[in-house]
Amino acid sequence: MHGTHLTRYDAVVVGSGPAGYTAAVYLGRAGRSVVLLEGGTAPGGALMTTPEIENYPGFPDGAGGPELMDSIRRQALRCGATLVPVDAASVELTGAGHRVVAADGTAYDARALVLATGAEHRRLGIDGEDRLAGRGVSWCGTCDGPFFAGRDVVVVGGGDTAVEEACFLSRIAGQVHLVHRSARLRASRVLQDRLATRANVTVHLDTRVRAIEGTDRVTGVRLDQRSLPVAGVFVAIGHDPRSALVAGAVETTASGHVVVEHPSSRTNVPGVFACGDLVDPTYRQAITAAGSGCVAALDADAYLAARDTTRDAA
Amino acid sequence: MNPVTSDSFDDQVRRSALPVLVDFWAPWCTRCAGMEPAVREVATTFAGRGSVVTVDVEAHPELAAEHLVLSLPAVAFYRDGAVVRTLAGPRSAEELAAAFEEVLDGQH
Repeated sequence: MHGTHLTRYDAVVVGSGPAGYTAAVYLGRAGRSVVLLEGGTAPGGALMTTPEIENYPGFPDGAGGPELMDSIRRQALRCGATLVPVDAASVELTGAGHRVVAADGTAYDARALVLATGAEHRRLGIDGEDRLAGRGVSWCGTCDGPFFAGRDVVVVGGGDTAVEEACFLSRIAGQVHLVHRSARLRASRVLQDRLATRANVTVHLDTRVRAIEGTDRVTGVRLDQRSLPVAGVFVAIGHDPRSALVAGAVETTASGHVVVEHPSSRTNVPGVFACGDLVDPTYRQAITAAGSGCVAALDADAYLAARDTTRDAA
Repeated sequence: MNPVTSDSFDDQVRRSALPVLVDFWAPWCTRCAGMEPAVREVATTFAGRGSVVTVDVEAHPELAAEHLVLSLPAVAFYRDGAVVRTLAGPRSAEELAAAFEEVLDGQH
């Protein structure tokens, strides 16, 4: 299906999102031939399910996540990048160059590889979660919230995402229970203040969800001391880096983040650069991901330039 | 890619001679928009062997309720008038095609 594309490039970028698309913008603009594998399931990354971004510079009235991603994507196209909506299935990293094999079998060869595969939702790992996924258990309030109009729901977590989800769902659902295992929420002050204005949100601190109950759909959750009858469970307990593609091939931390030589984006493999949520357990903002995508592109371009020079001299 | 409604569902899906992939989506669902090219590709790939229809669950919440769709995107595979397999969450063209092949082979 995608076999008509050139398969040899200066650089391959794996992963779409602010990091990957920004890397493609910079590499394209630097005159490098660049292909970006956007992913076959959810191109655009985590921002595609973020309806409103209020802190991306340059958008005083806020920006929609999907609209912002579409803008950076079109910018990458305009800068000459080739975009392919397919997952990367495997990588072969060699001294001479790197190869990325896509899920459709197409092989992409490049001297530089930029990894920007982001992070995926962490699971609770409790009884009922997998069995009832899509049957009331959800990782995306903005996607699935409308199915729970007027129904009671639980949001699990205490960070920005959990509080944003609770605020969003409070406009749709009946009662919203925010359940967090620690004594205080980690979410930013502005979000906690917003949460406090929602009359139909109850916060349960120092509380864990022990099991999700229901046969063909969610009917409730079991907490430490009590059960709550709810129709939906929205899990927002954090993210794990999506590094399985390069596990064992590049150095990663215990948490699975790809290790880079800060402040650069260089991994331990020459010619392989990493950026975005894949390397960042701390900041995880659209703007920091875009910034690190820029860094990765500049590092990759410098790497290519150094080799161009060596080749010219030889 | 054939949009179906509550009125046309029986004709297009339950009484279909071919196995059917039913793609549930909604206008608010950005992940559904992201999966649309994959669904379109599968519709082309399976033309003549299986059909692909889409259900807008905002316009037809009763079809979503009937199929217990509580998360989007969602896919149901019908064969001989009955659901034989469901998928919840975004899927690639390759994953959809593999599942559809299994449905056609009678493995599900």
